[in-house]
Formats: sequence, structure tokens, C-alpha cells
Amino acid sequence: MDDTQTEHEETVTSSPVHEEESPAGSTDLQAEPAGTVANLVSGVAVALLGVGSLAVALELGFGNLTQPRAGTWPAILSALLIVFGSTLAVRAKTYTDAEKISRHAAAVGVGAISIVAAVQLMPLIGFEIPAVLLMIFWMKVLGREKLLKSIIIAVVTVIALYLVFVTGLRISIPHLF
Amino acid sequence: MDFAPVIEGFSVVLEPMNLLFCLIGVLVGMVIGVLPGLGQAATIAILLPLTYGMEPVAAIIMLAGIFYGGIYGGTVTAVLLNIPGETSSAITAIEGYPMGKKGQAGKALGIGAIASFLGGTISIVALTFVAPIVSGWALRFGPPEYAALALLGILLVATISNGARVKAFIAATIGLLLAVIGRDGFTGEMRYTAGSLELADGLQFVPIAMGVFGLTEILYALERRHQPLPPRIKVDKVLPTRADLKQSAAPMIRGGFIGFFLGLLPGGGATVSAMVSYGTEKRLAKDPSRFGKGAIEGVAGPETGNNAAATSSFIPLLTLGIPANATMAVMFGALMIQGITPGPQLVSEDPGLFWGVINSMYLGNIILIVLSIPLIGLFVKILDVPPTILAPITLMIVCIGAYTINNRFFEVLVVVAFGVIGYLMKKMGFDPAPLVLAFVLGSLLEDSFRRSLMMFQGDVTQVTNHPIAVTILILFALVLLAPLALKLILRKKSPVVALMDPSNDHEPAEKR
Repeated sequence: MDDTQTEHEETVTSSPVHEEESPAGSTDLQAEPAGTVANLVSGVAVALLGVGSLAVALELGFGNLTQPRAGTWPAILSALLIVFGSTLAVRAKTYTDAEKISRHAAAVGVGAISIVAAVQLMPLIGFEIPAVLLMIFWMKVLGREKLLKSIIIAVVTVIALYLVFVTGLRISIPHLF
Repeated sequence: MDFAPVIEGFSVVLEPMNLLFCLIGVLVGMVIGVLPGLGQAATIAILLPLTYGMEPVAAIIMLAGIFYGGIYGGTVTAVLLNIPGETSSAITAIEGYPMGKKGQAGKALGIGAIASFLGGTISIVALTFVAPIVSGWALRFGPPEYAALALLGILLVATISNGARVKAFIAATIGLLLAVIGRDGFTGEMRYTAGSLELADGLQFVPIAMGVFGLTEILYALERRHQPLPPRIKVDKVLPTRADLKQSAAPMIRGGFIGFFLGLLPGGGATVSAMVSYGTEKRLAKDPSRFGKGAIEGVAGPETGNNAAATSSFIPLLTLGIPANATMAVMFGALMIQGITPGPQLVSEDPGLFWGVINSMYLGNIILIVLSIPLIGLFVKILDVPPTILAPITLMIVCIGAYTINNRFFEVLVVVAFGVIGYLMKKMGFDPAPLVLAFVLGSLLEDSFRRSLMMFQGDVTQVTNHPIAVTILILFALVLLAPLALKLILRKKSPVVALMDPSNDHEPAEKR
């Protein structure tokens, strides 16, 4: 089973799309240690998740096979998670299919937070303005497009969305206009 | 077989309004399907909210349109950008992209459209006959059979998925655990809700699918936004010549049958069919050296195969209520939202609806070929829009769509949460598809498992009284152990069979 996995992973990481992931100048050799750490962390995280959910499941009550209770099934699943997670952690070195999280990944966090922020505003002032702002943010700040272009595209898109969803499909999203 | 409901189904489907909805579905499906990175499951998940306010029949017809439009969209990006929208289109890219570079992009897309249509048609016709038979037979299924079948389905998807098997199993187990959240159907107790009111009814499938398939791709692309896209290939004449059609005819027919049968198996039917078809064509070709440099058979066969498989994978869904892959899982969710519970009882209790679903597939397939060939130039223009602009637009569609699920913003937050989770999973080498499928099957699996335990009164060995369940479990064990066996066989037959080995994939990286 080891061989199937490493063969699989080698092919995945050697494809051109994935090769772009490593920062310029790093070799495949450098990507592997990142792989080991990433897989170790994933494995441990999954195992811990299993432990946590097992605790909750046991509180719900395991019962036994004759009389399953609310906690029986989740307990079984949690146990599986602990086993799989540990397996992953123990054999972390054999997997080479994790990608390095580059510094560009900061944009991902920022992007996600921006969506949450916009969504918090929507019930208060309607969806239009936060939507426009969110789009401008993504285009101008994250995408480095020109400001005027971003504003125009954002406004046009939100108008189109308004026409389709509010006027056309008549959904009840909070809207200002 | 009684053909009356089939014919009746057609008359419903051919009403002008419904035709219009199907048209819109195909168009919208192609537009979203064409966006690089968004696969079929993502396309349907994102466009699901459009169907909410509609009548079930109209909604299903639109969904069929979206389904076929989405498949074709993936082919377009595979040929023009070497970025497959779906894992199955990755095979199309092997020959399609080189054809494009030789100036034959139009031909590749044209043959792709015809092949897709043919594959879909073969499959739908076969489905018309096979589905009622399977349904009748499946009516004898009880909890043990369903539990075994659900397990098999999850295992097959986990096996076919990208990445290490352990990771796929982890993804599936997490999916099953997520399905636990909410009120327990048997005892009424709250499980894993942490006192949250919103979680009392459990997580909804649609925001998870939108997050993990749609938003994940958007976030993933965000990280790589400053890398230049490969230059887009120009598309000229879209019609293949008579000679091309002659060359492609046999591959298409072979592909169609391969696709139909492989698509019946839960798992990655479309992908495996495309691979098997490709391998078959390469082996049967008079001059195999043309392959890899733009051989039209390498587009015709796999495209027919993957469409046929995508269509026949509806059978386990419609007849057993078991989604065979991620796309079917999304369709399952879509049908549930319309109040339709797919399963063996559907064909007997509501034949009008059952045949409505199948007939709308005929329609969607036809509209696809009618539209795709003339409109391909238009869709291709979408690819010229820079991703930095496409992403926010797609994002807004996703957010508003997510809101419409329950008329509250909680689901949008769920989408964001799963978008981030999906992103992390992807980076760490976990395929999100098993998670989604396991989530969809989770309640069914637990339910069947508990009922089985109660039936057996805790004595698990009583399962031997249920031969169907035992057969399925044996299949389960076989699939679990198959890779070991396959490894031994493959070592001896390297090149040709290596092509059929799912772990040997060529340059275009699979994206969902």
C-alpha cells in the first residue's frame, strides 16, 4: 500500500501545475520536508479531532451493540479518526502530496475574513453596499486591478445581481434600494 | 414495459416554459462550467439556488440543463487552457490541448460536443430500460442492504479520489461525523451542536458543497493569482469534417458502452470510463504514435465515455437513492430540496416525476448540442476575462445563492468556513469529494446501521441472513484490498495497463 501511495503522490506533485507551487529556486527535495511536516501536523490534528469528538460521543452515551445510543455511531467514527490520523502522522514521511502554503496564502485568509466582514454588514445596511465594497476589495487590493475599473465592474455586477435575484427571482435578501 | 408514462413525461418536458428553463440551465451551466477550476459538482452546487422558487418539474429540467452544460464547460477549459474543469476532462486534455495547439481547437470542441451528445443519448436510452428493472429489484432492500451499499459507495469514491487513501478515508469519516451534527433522529438528543440554535437542524448539504467545491477553488486561485495563465488558444471552425466523423465513429460507440457500464458503479465512473476508453483507443489505433500529439480518437472516445458514465451514474441515484459520486451527491441534494426523495419507491409511487427526470435529461442533452456548437465562440470569450475579475463575480453569486438556502446569512458563513476547510484540505493533499459524499450518505448510513443493529438485536452475525447485503460487503472487502492485488498485476504489464491505472495521471492536474 505504501508503494501505491508514493507512486500516486509523485505523479501529482510532478505535474506542471503543482511545480509552480514551490517558490522559485527550490528543488523537489526542499518540497519534501514541508510535506513531512504538513502531513505530520494533519495527522496529529485529525487524531486530536477524533479524541475530542470521542469525548463528546461518550458523554452522549455509547450503550452497546444491542442497544445503540446517540453516542454509538459518533464514537465509532471518532475511533476511526484517531486510527487514521495516527496512521497519517506516523507515516508522514511517505506522503509527498501536500503543497507548501506560500506567503501568497495570506491572501486566502484575508479574502475569507473580508467575506465574513461583508456578511456581518449585510443585515444592517442591505446587501448592495457591502457587496460592492467586497468586490472592490477583491479586485483592487487582492487582484491589483485599477480602482476605477474595479468600481465600475463591482457596481455593474451588483446591479445585475439585484435585477436577477431581487427583481426577478424575488428572494428576500435584505436590500437597501 | 409500459411506455405510457415515458411518453407522457415527454409531453410535460416539451412544454415551452420548460424548454425555456432547460435552455437557461444549459447556458448558465456552460458559463459556470467554463470557469477554470469549477467542476461539475461546483457548477451545480452554485446554481442550485436558482431552482428554489420553481416547480419541481421545471426545477429538475433546469437542473438537467445545468448538468449537461456543466460537463461541456469542463471540456472547453480542458481543450483551450489545459485546465480540466473535471477530473474526467483531464483525459480529454491529453489529446484536446495538443489539437488546439495545432490549430484544431474548433475541431476538438466540435467532436467533443458530438461525442458528449452521443454518450448521453446512448446512456439515457439504456437507462430508460434498465432503471425500472433495478428499481423493482431494489424494493427488496432493507436496512442492512442500504448500510452495506452506502459503505461501498463511500469506499469507492474514496478509492478513486486523488491523493492517499488514508487521507480520503479521513475526509470521508469527517463527512460522516459532520452528518451527525444536530438532533438525533432516534432519541431527539442534540449532538455536537454546542448549544447553537442554527445547528439544531444539522448542517445543510448545499452550503458545504458550495464551500468545498466552489469557494475552495476561488480561494485556491487567489493564492496563485499572480501566476500567469497559459495563453488561450484561438478557436476557429467548430465543425469537424466528414473524415473526422468517420474516424471518430467507432471510438465514440465503444466509449459510449464503456461509459454506460462503468458509470453504473458507484465511484468515479466518468473518470474511469474516460481512462479506459482512452486506453482502448490507443491500443486499437493503427498508428498509436499519434496519441499524445492530437489524435481525434483520444477526444471522441473519452468524451463519449465520460458523458455516458455521468448519465448512467444517475441510475444508482434514482433507483436506490444512493449517489454514486460527488456530482450525484449534489443532484441528490437538489432533488431533496424539490421534495423528491430518490429511491426504489420513486418509480412506483411517482412515475410521472421519475420519467420527468429522465426525459429532461434527453432534453438537456439535445439542447446542449444545439447550443454548444454555435455558441462556443461566446463562451470562450469568458476565458479572456482575467481571473481577478471573474473570482469576485463568482464569489458574489455564491454568497447570494447561499443566502437563499434558508433566507439567512448563517449558510453564507458555513460556505466560507467550508471554503477555508476545503482549501486547507486541498493544500494538505486531502480530496474534498469523499467528505461531501460521505456527508450526504451519513444520515442514511447511520440510520440503516442502527436499524440493522436493532433488527439483529446486537448480533452482527445475523447479517448472513441477508445475502444481498453479504454480497455487497464482500464487494466492499474486495475493493478495499484491490489496490494490493492491482499493484502485483500492474508490475508485469507496464505501459498499456499503466494508462488505465488511476494513479498514473498525465500533466493536466486534476481539479474539481
